Amino acid sequence: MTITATITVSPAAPKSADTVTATYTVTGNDPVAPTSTQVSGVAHVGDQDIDVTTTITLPGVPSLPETFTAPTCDGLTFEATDQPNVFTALVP
Amino acid sequence: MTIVAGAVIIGGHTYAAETTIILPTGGGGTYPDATATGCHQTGLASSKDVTASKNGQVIDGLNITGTLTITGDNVTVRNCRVSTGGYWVIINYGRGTVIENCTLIGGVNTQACIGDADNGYFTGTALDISGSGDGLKMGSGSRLSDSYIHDLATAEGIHNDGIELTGAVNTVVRHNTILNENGQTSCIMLSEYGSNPNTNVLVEDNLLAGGGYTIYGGAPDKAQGHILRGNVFSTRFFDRCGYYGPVAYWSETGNTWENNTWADGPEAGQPVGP
Repeated sequence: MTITATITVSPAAPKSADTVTATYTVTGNDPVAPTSTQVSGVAHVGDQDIDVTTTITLPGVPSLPETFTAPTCDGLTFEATDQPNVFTALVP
Repeated sequence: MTIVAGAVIIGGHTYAAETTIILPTGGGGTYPDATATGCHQTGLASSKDVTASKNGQVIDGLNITGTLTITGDNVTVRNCRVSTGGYWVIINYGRGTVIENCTLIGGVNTQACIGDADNGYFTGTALDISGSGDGLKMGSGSRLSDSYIHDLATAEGIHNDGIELTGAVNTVVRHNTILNENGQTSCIMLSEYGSNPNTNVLVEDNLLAGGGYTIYGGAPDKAQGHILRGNVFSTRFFDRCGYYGPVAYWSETGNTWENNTWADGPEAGQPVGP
């Protein structure tokens, strides 16, 4: 799945002295769970073809690590919060 | 519109992200608040009522719980905290008074944190003014700049003006934050209803919010020469800045209204008209 990153700021038209919150949203960076799959083959024994199968479990893939940079904006200074994808700034 | 830009690094790859925001606009950019005004000095000496009667007297670093009465000329008051529930926090009879970096706190029965009387006038800078009925009562020649008027007294029947001008000529109000979250009266009252008209008052580059009307403009007095220029009107308390609107009783004749804009809200940056 395609990975995308977006940022939103709320409120979009703040007043002086408001605190605005910038939030990153990432889509597509989802973990893949371990999956079971079948391995098939044919054994030739004498003049006979013998179909054989087995199953294996493919490993899962975790989400890729994400790092969020502080947004930049003329007139605002964003500070980190407890949530790594959320930053806040005081509107002068 | 201002762009907010950011980036997320996912698995070593950088994904850019941006959005837009409408920031408040105004001539001054930033306006005074509690951090930039008032007395932040520690170790103040305590005092009750003080009278400054000597010309040129300097009062520095006092915590006055009472009224400061200024009768001498050219008195300087700096780095002081003055608080009282009495009639005045500072009553100024002095000419050429300088008040700077002071925190002035009144009570519900306090007329104003500074009141000019008997032709006294002052220059106030970086003052944090709160708690009184009116923030200031300014007379002729007084000037206020870089100051913060806020959290005025609330009580049944009270009328709050951030600044009331009384018979004021050549008075200047420049680059202050003046907030009146009560939906009555004003941030700046220029009207004296004929009893003692104000003239040639300059109100420039202030952040204003609240009141019934934020500005009472002088009429029906025959006031002339008022200049309201480059002020920004905030919707932080009411959608139209004041409960009823940004300005009332403004006379176009003989007065100047220019470059006053909305600080924020849906019309941020747009002109505010009388």
